[in-house]
Amino acid sequence: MYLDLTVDFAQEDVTGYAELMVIVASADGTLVKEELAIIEALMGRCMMHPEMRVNIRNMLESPPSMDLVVAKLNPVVLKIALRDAMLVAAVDGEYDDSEIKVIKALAKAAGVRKKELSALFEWVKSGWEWHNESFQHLGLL
Amino acid sequence: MLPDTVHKLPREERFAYARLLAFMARVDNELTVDEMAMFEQRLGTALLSPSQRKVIRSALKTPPSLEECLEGMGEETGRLALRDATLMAAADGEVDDDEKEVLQQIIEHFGMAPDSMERLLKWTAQGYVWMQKGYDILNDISE
Repeated sequence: MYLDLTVDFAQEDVTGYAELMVIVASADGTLVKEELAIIEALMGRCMMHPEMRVNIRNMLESPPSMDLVVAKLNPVVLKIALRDAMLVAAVDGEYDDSEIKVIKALAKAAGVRKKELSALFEWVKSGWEWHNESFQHLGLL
Repeated sequence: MLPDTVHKLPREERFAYARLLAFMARVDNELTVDEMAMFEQRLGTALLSPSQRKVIRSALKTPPSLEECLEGMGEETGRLALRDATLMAAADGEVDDDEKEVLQQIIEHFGMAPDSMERLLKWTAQGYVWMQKGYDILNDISE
């Protein structure tokens, strides 16, 4: 029920996917704890090998070139990466211009049009609202 | 995966949170890939150190008792762990009676409202619908 497609990615695809998360998180030049937490969560969700996670963490200081990463990934991986890159970009509360630029470039590479990209932005917003409701249910607001 | 507060908890509380999830993962004596993926996701969110993760993963093999997990656990930590234990229990598509019993025990331990489990299960189901919607948008793109 919960299982995400990323669990079935080939090892090189998982690496490329995680590299894209690093690229979007570091796009605005600052890396906040929320971004680190979501990248760790996404790496956990695709059950990435612990050693591969170390390699990804080491990239946070100097992320790889987006063009090189995108070139080695197929459209399915790029679409999933686009969806999750949007979650990473949104996690600190706002989309920075540099993050939007990365998202648009990723959408283009994945063959995602403006209309669908807007639907994904709405999807992120509704997920954010859903998640915030949990704090009400828990009496933590 | 969305804006959360687990990573803001003190280090020892994050460890206690993860230990409770490890306990929850083993309640029905089987650990599905879905549950494992959710468990690993939540461990990531907690920003545990690699050595802490190792300890927690070994707790999956020999889980502590629920009493041990709850002993000394802070209120906020317990409530967040309850929420994420619910997500994990539902990850394989159904929450069985044993899992519900544990969730109820956690609710009672923290003196939460009697309808808490019902609300969290409903919230969890809404979350899975949301995740599916994300796939639906991506599928539309492929058509």
